[in-house]
Amino acid sequence: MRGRALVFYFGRRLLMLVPVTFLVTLAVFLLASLVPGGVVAVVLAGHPTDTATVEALQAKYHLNDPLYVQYLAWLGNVIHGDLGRSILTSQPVSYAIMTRLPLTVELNLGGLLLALIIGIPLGILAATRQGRARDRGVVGIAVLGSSTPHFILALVILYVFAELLGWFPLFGVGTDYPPDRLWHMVLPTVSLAIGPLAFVTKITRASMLDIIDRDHIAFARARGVSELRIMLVYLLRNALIPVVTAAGLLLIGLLTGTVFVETIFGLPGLGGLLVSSVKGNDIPMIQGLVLVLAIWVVLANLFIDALYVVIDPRVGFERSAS
Amino acid sequence: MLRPGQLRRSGRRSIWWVLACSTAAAIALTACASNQPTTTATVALLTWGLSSTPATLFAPTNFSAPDSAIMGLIQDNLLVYTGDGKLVPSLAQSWNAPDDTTYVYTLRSGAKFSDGNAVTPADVIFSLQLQTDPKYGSQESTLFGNVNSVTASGNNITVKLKQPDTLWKWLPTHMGFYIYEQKDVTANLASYGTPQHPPIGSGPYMVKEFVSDSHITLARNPNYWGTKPIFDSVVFQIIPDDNTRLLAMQHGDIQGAWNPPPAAFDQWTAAATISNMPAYIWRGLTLDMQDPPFDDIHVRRALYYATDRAGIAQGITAGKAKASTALDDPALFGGILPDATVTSGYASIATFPFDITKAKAELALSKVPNGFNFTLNVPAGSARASAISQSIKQTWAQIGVNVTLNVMPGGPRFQVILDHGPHLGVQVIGNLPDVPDATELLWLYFKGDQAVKNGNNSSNLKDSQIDTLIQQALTETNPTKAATLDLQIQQLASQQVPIIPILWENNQVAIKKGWTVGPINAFSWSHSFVEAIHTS
Amino acid sequence: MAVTSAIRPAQTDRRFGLTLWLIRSVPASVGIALIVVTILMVLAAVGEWLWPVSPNAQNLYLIAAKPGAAHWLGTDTLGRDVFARVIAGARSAVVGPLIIAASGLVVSSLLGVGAAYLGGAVDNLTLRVVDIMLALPGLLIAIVIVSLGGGGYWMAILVLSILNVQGDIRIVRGAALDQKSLPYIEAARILGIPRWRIMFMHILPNISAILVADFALDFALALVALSGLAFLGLGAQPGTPEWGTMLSDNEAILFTNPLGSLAPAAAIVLLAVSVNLIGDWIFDRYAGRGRFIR
Repeated sequence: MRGRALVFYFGRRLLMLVPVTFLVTLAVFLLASLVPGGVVAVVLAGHPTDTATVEALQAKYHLNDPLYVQYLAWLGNVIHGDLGRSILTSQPVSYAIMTRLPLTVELNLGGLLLALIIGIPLGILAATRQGRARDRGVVGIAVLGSSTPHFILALVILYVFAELLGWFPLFGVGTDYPPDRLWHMVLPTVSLAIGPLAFVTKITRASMLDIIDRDHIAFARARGVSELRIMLVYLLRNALIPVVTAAGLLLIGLLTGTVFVETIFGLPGLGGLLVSSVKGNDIPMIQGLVLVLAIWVVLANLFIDALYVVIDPRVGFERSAS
Repeated sequence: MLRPGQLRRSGRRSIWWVLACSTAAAIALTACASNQPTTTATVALLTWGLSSTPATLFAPTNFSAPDSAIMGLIQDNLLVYTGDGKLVPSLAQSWNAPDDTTYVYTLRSGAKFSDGNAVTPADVIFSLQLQTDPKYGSQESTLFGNVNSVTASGNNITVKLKQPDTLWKWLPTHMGFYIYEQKDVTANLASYGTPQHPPIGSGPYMVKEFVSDSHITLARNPNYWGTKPIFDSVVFQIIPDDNTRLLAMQHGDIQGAWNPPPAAFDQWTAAATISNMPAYIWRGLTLDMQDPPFDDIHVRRALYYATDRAGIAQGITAGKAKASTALDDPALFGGILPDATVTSGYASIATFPFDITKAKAELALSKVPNGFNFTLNVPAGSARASAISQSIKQTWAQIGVNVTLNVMPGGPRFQVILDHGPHLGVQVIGNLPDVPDATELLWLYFKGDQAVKNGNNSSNLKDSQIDTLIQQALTETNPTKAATLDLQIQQLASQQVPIIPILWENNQVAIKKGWTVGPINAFSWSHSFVEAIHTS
Repeated sequence: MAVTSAIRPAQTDRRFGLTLWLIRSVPASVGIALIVVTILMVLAAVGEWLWPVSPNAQNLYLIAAKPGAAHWLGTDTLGRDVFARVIAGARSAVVGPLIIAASGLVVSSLLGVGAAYLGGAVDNLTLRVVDIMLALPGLLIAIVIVSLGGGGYWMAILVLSILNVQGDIRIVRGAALDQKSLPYIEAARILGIPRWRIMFMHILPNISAILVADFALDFALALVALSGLAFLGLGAQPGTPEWGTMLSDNEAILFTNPLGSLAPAAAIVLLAVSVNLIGDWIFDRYAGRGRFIR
């Protein structure tokens, strides 16, 4: 299924982006709006209040308009690229998101790379030494890594490496000077990557075990193809397919862990912003964040599906059909 | 010199090393200072640890007392409160009140904003209009509801009030009446005070950098009219995690922080000098006197008896807060009434110290002698409110009153209070006076006309005698008379047990060992708190 | 001719049943894991009554005490005994994930098998719904919904159950599809066995190993997700002994009594690891290696 069919397929998937994000943002908007005591109560809590002040604030942020008017106004602005303004911080939502997005992307990509670069070789190692000490060790670590919640890992890592040992900084992102930035990002990235790393190890090992006995491998061995070549050419390519299949889940897992890691290490990323804007019922910010997240996830899944098609030409369109 | 963001640890430092360094620095500074009596030694940098990013640095969009400590370094007020009832000229070189409802402030000439523009009466008028004009939707506007008009002629700004008001004279010192530059604000109104448009002020410092979730850098304002503070530059480093902030203090990455968490008090005391800063914060419960079974005075007394206020003060605040007996902290009367009067005024307030036996006996006299069940709304995100409500749940259960704790996000929780529905039950309250006047809290929580939608009187206390007294106190311009009335109001109200007062809290300032913090209180820290820090 | 027992596909004569799992060679680690899980289940059911110290008794004058004779793991921010609270917390740690995993099991059995076997419109609809749900990072949406909805243990469970179901449906559907192409199903159809019977009396039992393994994995993930939500303050009523909430509350006393946070953290990890070990083992042994990737 090459050429036009492929283009149509991905084009259709991209178009799906529109109704999905529409539905998601609508659902979140309704939720946030129906919560009594929106952002006005949040900012006035613990202060002298009277009706004039409450009404002035509600008028300022158009909170008294009918719900559909508010939502359509927001939608109209979004089409023009204006995501609105945060009620709590007066910052444009797009500005707040754009200044934080690079950090979260950095963190997620770093985590993904780390998980793949270490996880795949570990998985292969375990598979080729199945049953023996090395395998058991790797599997044990993998189970531990995937069972420990992100926030516990991050806390322990912060405490041990930043406080007790003093090898890394305690908080923040450092200056723009790349080595300094890298140094500040090591601990958070490692904390984020451990869970996905364990997962990748497990999958790689499982799929390697699955094919390591297959006939054509045995046949290649019989023909005298070198062990290394076998591993690289045959095993690896086939073993990667399940990893790519699971990459979608990986990305989502990373995004989720980001919230906790950013909170604990005090990093100014999207995760912390999501938590604070939800707690403050900052509707424009929540809407903007959910929109960006939904787009991110859909695009990422699309990209992975494309990758999948490239890696395994035999397969049809839907990963989910397998 | 450390640049912001470059705050990395370069190895473990012991407390002794820090102590030695700062002592040496202090000695050196003192030596220098004593050799040159005419020049004040300056310190290059002060780094302060914050637990969260200020929402904005513009008071109308951020009514936050802690954040006003930062805003006060950038903005000026017309007047400044120095403690013990004294108002001192600041941007206004003088003021007077020709009659009960008219106040005239004479603006100092030669004061400039950090961008070089002069501070004009138009700017002052505009700054007040930010609060009085509903189109700005300012968060402090409730405080300025009594302003009728504001005009200027020459350098004199005249404010006319709708009725005589004891609270007004303090408001020019409040963060709600910072002086902003009209041109700058109107040009950038929607995003004023954000990192994109940091505020411009005529205060001792100006904003050099404002990076959300990272830091705020202030540098000296070259156009400042007043005495230069000793620090060339102040950096506020945002460190949300409590433990990380403690570690930063221990390692010298920051030289100061506010409100160390009580649970880690011992570690903080070892790492820094902790100073008390009066804040008169009140925490307690309001009991809806129109909502059965709380309409029964025996029930209210019983619940008061069953609240372990002393235990809460000791356990939850590490003894830093006091168990309170009324809305106003007695220190609010300091300098206005003689101590003996205040003491006897407070002695006559009805209190019911923790005693389960008495609580049970009192409940036995009520309509619900076997106890009852109800749900208490607890604001999320407040460790103190959560701890208090858990303590209450435990102790009230001992007299048969079973509380279900319902944690709600801050907004919806406060909205219940604002909606002022029929069954307000028990509400958890934390508040502090905005001005150094005991009348404000009494007005908000005890006055009958505040027991309405969007009002704060959740006890539904509607007593005509108390109302008259409060009205008198609000319009009384003689501070001594007003204070006497306040004492009387508290004593009268306490007979009906509309509230269960639990804590009077103050703020703590942690400062580098070897440094000291001069006398400072909650009403003056919204104006250049840095001036109170002494490095020698 | 009524066929009353499940027809097995023509494979090796490997049979399995619950009892045989235990008798077969269970590796030591899985054995320990099973013991741990059993102990925690028992504690969840009756723990509060087994241990004399109350998990809720406060002592405002003994905050954050270090471990000692009176309090084996010290006390927390309100002077409550940490050990008693860890035991009491077993209940919420077990009940919530159990419900989430069980609801996932039930729904995915019905919808997954149904979609796979019936095909056509049912399959398409199911796939569409599942695809849309895949577009959303589950825990993040849970954070938004639970937070706006006011938090609470049961709301968190509800939201997580709904979001969890889509992954299970995919897996079950995949497994059922594989079964569908096997000759014995064709045989059953020819024999005239009714559809619902084929789906639930034949296909379902044959994929039960995957269902169990998936159940275990769901449990572990739900445990982590629930404690994560509790850590962010979206868990049960304050004061309820819940491991995630304890972890977050006692962070404040990390330097005074670190066990206040470390003990519930260790408990969460222990339970999650044990359940994962069990799930992985079932998966490896009985579900075919590497084919049905979670």
